[in-house]
Amino acid sequence: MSDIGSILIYIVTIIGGAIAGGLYYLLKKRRDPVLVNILEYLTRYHLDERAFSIDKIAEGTQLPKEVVERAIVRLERAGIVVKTKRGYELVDPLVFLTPRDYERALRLTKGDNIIYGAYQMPYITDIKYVIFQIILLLGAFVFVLATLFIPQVGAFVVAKTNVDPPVVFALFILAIAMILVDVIDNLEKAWIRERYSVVVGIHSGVLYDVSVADELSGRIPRGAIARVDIDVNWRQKLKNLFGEVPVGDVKIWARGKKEPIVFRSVPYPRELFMVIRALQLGSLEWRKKYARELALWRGRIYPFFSYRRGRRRR
Amino acid sequence: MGEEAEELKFEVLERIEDAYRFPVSIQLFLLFIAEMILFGVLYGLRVPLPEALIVFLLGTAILYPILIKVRNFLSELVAAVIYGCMMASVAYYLFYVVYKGLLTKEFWMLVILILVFGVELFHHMYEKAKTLRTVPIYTADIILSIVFAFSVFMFLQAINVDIIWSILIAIATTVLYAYAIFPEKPY
Repeated sequence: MSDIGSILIYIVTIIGGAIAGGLYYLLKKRRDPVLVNILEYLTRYHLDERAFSIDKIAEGTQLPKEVVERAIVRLERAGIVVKTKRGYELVDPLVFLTPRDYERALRLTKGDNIIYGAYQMPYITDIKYVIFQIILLLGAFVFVLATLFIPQVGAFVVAKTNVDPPVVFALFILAIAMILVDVIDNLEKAWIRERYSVVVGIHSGVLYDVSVADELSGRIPRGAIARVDIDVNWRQKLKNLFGEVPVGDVKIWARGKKEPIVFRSVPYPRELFMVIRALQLGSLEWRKKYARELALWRGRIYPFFSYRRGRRRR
Repeated sequence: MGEEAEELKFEVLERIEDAYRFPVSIQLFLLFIAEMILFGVLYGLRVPLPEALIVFLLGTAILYPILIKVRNFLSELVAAVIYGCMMASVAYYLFYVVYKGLLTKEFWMLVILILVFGVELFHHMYEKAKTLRTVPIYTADIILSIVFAFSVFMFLQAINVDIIWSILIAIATTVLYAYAIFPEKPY
């Protein structure tokens, strides 16, 4: 690069960073105190006693009815509350089902209080699937390096595609590989979703799909749960430390059965374990403590450091 | 769309995630070590400065979201600044080095590359954008898809592909692109 080009690239880099940082600062949504107030009230009083009316919330929060109504509509759109025949109901923070599957779960459990709901993701840490993605991306990246450092490869690409410099063509292939990996990832998630779901209801126990297009026919009544355990293998452990959504296997031994029922790569396995353990012991008091903590934490307005002082591993 | 509610929902899940991640001090330590290694490799290989800057920024942009799992205002602001620096330097460098005219196939290939790389890196740096279903995100994704379709069509025209095939290929690839970049469920 020429001297001017070299200097300009630093200036352009700094300007790019400043614009992106400025845009983030300007577009970052500030908390709506009304919404925070209502969410705190809901998690405090409507975690178990779920159905509520707008009048009741307005009375409890001392807010005008119209304001509460608007806030509840926004919460409904975000999937935090759901409208049922009995009125509005708070969706438990550990329900990761689509609204359609949540409604299905409510229907099949006859309106039970669902305290956990998610999909098993057996392929997400499957070694073949991960290797396929890595090969696709790595192959394209190696092609980029080859066009840069192996003259014969560069000459071949120019001769065949007439693209000069050849690295542009290699970068184009890399872009296609990136899109393909993302599309395959989306297809895989779509394939899993709405198939192998696991639902835990306070009264109905653990319900799960046993086959494609099943209607939660697998069932472990809460009284039949003998033992529960979490198993996080090394791939899941790596994903939990560096990936997006934490996953792990949860095993449940039903009374009278030798082999456990294994829910593979469910999101937030520790929470599922705690939910099932609480169900087994008939004590769901910890959820109220947990909800209060969430509510208090929710009340803060974008602190610079969100973690607690003296934070301990839970 | 209840954007504040969406934000709160994310924060609830992020808070739950704490138990699965390294403590913040370890996350910062790992990032520091990774950055030192990256710097050492670039220095050891005597990579010239503008290129070294781009590779360093690219490495940081890839490593930062993998290692730093704390998500608050400051960490997201840092991610946004790294992303801005990275995209500006890569775009400038690519067009400066290989620019040959506005309507050449190389130009449209680079536009497609920037569109794909920009969105994928953005999703990597700011995971919420991948799953946040809000009006600005949908609007941005629609605009990007239209620009992508136009770029693919222009690229195919530049390499003398038949106009009907150009339209069909542009539509098919745009569907794939849109499917990849539109908001999705994370679990």
